[in-house]
Amino acid sequence: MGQVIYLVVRKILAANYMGLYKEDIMLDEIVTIFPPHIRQALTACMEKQREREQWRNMEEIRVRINRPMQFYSGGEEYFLRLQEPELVRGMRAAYIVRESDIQAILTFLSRYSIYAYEEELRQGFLTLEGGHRVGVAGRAVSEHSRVVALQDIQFLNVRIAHQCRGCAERIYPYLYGEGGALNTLIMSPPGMGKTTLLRDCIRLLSDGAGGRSGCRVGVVDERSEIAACHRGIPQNDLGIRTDVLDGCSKAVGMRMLLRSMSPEVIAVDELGGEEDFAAVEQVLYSGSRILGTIHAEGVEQARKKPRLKRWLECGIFDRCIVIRCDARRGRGYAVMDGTGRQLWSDY
Amino acid sequence: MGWDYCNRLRGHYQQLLLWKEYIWCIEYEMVQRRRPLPEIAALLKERQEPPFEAFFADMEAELQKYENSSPRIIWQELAEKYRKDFHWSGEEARIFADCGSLVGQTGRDMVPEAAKQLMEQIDFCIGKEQRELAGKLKVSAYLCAAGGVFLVLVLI
Repeated sequence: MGQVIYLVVRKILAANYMGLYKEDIMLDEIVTIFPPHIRQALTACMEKQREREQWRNMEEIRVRINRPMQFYSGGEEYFLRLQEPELVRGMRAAYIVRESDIQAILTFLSRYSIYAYEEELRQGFLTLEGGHRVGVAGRAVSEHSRVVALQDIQFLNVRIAHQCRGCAERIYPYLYGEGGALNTLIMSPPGMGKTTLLRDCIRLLSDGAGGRSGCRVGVVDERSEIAACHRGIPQNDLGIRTDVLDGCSKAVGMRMLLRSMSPEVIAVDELGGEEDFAAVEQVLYSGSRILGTIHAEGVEQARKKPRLKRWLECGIFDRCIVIRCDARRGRGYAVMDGTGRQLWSDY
Repeated sequence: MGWDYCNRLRGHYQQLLLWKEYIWCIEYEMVQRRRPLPEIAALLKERQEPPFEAFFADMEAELQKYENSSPRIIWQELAEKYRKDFHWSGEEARIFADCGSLVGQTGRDMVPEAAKQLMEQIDFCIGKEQRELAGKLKVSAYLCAAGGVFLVLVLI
């Protein structure tokens, strides 16, 4: 009996410890990028319990030159007060960002080496340890309608990563058929959580769940949004059998993975261009499965795109997962087969 | 004394050659490998060639602190600190401090030009040292020989 109680208490403590540990790690990852005076104020804020709740739901931190520093959490906007550090609603005592603050943040993010991150800056973002992303804006230098450099960066948007482990568990059983994983398309309008769902699907397919063994998954992460690699190391959990090709175009990346990593499933985000579709067909002919996302409100809208219409009519994709979101009911999924017939919905 | 002078001359010449090699390495790592500066400093300190080893070890430590916003200033301050260890002449010390402009570049396309200008100046120093080295070595050899003869005469 004593042993049982000991084990239960240990499990509770471990759960709490892991929760606290993960939260603290996230806070440290974000706070270290700021200059010392801001970092101290944020650390002091986080020591108060109320601010912890705000941090748990923190979505973005906006840093704009000569403007108050803004924090977005749980749909609310806050400002940082340096004297008696606190996140406040009113702008009156808000800390105004200086040019030296932005320079210090960029110096830290780039490790004194802006030249080493030119490609990322051209794309408009840098990835932090932990999978968080810092979007940048400034003066674009263009050549032949192409952005070749981003200079005078004075606007930063720190987007805090929240990996949603378990969000794909409801639809996971439908990702499998008799012959293994099925070709699956996830579709929704922008900002509905396609990438978040894709990430969790990759993790479940790779690790295996519900009595199924995992499979080899190759991920082509063109915009470093799926794995959020930082110095080559994925910051998000994509499972134990996943290989990541980071920063590579989808068309080229899919072919590279096929040649070198023998994946059973190839996962890509935001299929759109003609070259993407050609590469997908090559993957399908090679015997690997595709797990991809597209922008579309549903199967009917997807049929309006010529290439997708052909795929859906040929039954190339065995599963279509549609994400819907509404203010009253929140986010829900609908799973359809290749013909558009609904198999399951929690909406 | 002559022997020490001889060794110092050779050591100084070797240092100039190493200096050029380090600049070439830095350019390569910045442009081709796109390696961040703290990693470049860590890489160069591993070569264990004093006093460059201590110089780059300090540079890595300063860069890791993120207190100074300019790698160029960090380089210049360290160049001043290690000036005596390097035995640079006035002109060489000035050029060595100017190497901070290379690590301070923010765009990769500017790095080769900056490196080229520095290497031209270093080549000038190496050429000058090569021309003068033979003469200086002769002087030190005469000094050694004269010292030896003097010692023999004293003993006799």
